Amino acid sequence: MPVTSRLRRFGQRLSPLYLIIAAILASAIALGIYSYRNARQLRDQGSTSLVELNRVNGAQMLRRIDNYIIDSDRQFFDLVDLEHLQDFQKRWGEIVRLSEAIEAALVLDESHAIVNKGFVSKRPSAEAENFRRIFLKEILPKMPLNELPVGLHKHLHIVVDGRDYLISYIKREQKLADGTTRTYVIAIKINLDYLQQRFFPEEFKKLEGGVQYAVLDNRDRVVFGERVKAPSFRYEENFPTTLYLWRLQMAPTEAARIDAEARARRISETALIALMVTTILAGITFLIYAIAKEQRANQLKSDFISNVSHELKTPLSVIRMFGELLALGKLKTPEQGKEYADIITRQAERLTQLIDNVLDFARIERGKAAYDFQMGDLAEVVTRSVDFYRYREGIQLSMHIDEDIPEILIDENAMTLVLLNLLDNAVKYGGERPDVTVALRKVDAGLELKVSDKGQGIPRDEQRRIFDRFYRARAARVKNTRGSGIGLSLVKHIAEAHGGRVTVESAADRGSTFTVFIPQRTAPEAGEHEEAA
Amino acid sequence: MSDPRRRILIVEDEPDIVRGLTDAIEFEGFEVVSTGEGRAGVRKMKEEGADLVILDLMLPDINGYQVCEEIRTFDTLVPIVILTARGQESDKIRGLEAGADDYVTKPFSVGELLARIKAVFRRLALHGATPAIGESMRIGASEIDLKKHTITRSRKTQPLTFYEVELVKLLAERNEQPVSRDEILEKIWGIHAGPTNRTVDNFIVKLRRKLEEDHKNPRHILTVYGHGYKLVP
Repeated sequence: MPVTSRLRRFGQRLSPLYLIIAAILASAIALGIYSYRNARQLRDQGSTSLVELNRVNGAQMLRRIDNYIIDSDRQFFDLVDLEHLQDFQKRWGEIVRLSEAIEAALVLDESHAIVNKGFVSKRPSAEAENFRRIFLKEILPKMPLNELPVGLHKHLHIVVDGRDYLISYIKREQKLADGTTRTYVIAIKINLDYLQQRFFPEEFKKLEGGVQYAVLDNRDRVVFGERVKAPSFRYEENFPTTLYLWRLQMAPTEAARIDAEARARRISETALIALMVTTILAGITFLIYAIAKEQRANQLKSDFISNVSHELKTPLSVIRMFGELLALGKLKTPEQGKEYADIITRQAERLTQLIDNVLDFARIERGKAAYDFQMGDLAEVVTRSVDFYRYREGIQLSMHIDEDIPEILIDENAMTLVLLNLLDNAVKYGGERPDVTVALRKVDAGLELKVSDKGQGIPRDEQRRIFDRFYRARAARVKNTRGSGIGLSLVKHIAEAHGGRVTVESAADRGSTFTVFIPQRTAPEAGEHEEAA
Repeated sequence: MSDPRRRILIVEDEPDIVRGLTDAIEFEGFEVVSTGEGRAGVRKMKEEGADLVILDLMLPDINGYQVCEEIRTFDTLVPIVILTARGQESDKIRGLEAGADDYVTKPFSVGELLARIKAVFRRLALHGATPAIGESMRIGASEIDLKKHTITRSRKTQPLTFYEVELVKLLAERNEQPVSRDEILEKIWGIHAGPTNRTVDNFIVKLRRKLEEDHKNPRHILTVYGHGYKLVP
């Protein structure tokens, strides 16, 4: 078949309902994606503005601290008079007053040696001497003095023996009277203790409330403040110019809470969207299931009507044919007339049974099946029903009924229908020459009726479904065996209405046995009627 | 009137129907063989032969369509009448496509069925004794072999059923004169026309598909409105 005609046939089969379902599904998915993205965008916008505000505050703080150190350096460098270096130590007191941030200062000559009286410190002499030694041995070699242009102000942030040192230095030139020039390097040791203990607290205090902050060294130790834990809103940056081994961490005080709230909101929004999409999907799935079920039910009903009408037509054909033969007088012998009348009667009974089946079934379907329970003789019902089939050609029928079968609470008409349906099935599916056994036994709590055949059997996967209304076994459908698909569902309903049950045991090519158990119940008030559920 | 040598095979699983049909057909002087299963029916047809087959669709082993198809593999001429409770148009079409000649739905009139059977044998007897026309016939670009029941057009040969051949013959005998539906029904099927009987029209449609270049614009089997059909070779 060409692809186009296949597509056309597919299109014809495609119900508009399925297109609507597909549209709903697509809309639900689109709505879910849109909602998720929108929620995420709103969240991101909120956090972006917080992060930006925090970043601006942090950058300002870094700049202020840098500027303070640089300004202190410049003021000091301006105070150093290279022409009167002998007064350098004398002016130290003035310098100390001017800048608390400076702890010690040195002046180096062209050979990078400390000039005479060119070292001053606020610290006690032993401590000062220790710094001088460290400076010359550890710090000075790290200072790129030879390449340093005159007038350029630089910083060296270094860790020696686990201790931070911040050195500001500049190269200056002095013009001598003979016209030659001499260069000096002025170096300052910044008082980090002062910065940490006095300057930082004052500066950070200026920050408006709701901010947490910390200064950390390059070994990740907190130098000042408290470590900021919330990662989402945290601003973290090294000092750009001076204390470049240190970094500043800043975040809104509520960062952790905002972070937790954002996470909770994200989870709840995602869950809500997922719930919405899942609900729609579940609805659609249920809808498809319901439609499929409805279609299947309609198909079964349609098959049922077709099967029942077929079932009705066969006895009708026989009745009409023999009636016509009788009317036309096409008889070879007078006995033939009686035979024809018998056949008409038998087929009329078959028709009656079929119509009774359908009417009972219809009553059950409407939930109005009424049973007339009376104390009755089930053995008699069995015998009567078996007699109906006993004289059929080609059927081997045997019956075993226990001797002491007691009277039991039954609806005789309904139980006759049970027997006739089970016998009809046993004959239909019993093979070429059906061999059917009917047995009625007394068991502990009631009576047990068994109808067995030696036919093809019922596959295991169908043994439960054969009691469903309208269901017809595969073999019956394939071989077009007559039947309407309601007989066994009727048997089940009647058995259950009697408080009993029906079961089947079957094996391929070894036949089937249907067992109906009817419990022994007490006698009812006269003429008890029971409405089926 | 009836030919006692004529043998009818009944393939039907309902014993009472077989009994009634057997009695009625035998009463008319025909011989009856019957079976309740499809495969046995095919075997009986192959081994014993029959002049007409009455076939039920719902059989315990294989369905009637399959029986019909299998019989047609070795006998294209024997008239096959399908007898079934399935009266839907789709079932009839499927039956005719499987090679059946006629379709009678249950519950049926045994008198009408006997009339059909007799009409078939009457037509067979008529052509056997005095062939009205030759063994083959040319209509437009189609060549019809009346003995083999085939039609050849554009080098393609298709089988024709008993009723199709009889229909062509009846129309051809009238030499381009119209034949009414009632007459066709009576002469070929042996039955009287009812207001809803579409048998003739269905067979005309089938014939046109096999015979005409364009079956929607026929040039050989023409409709005479309100009356019947005529054949223009």
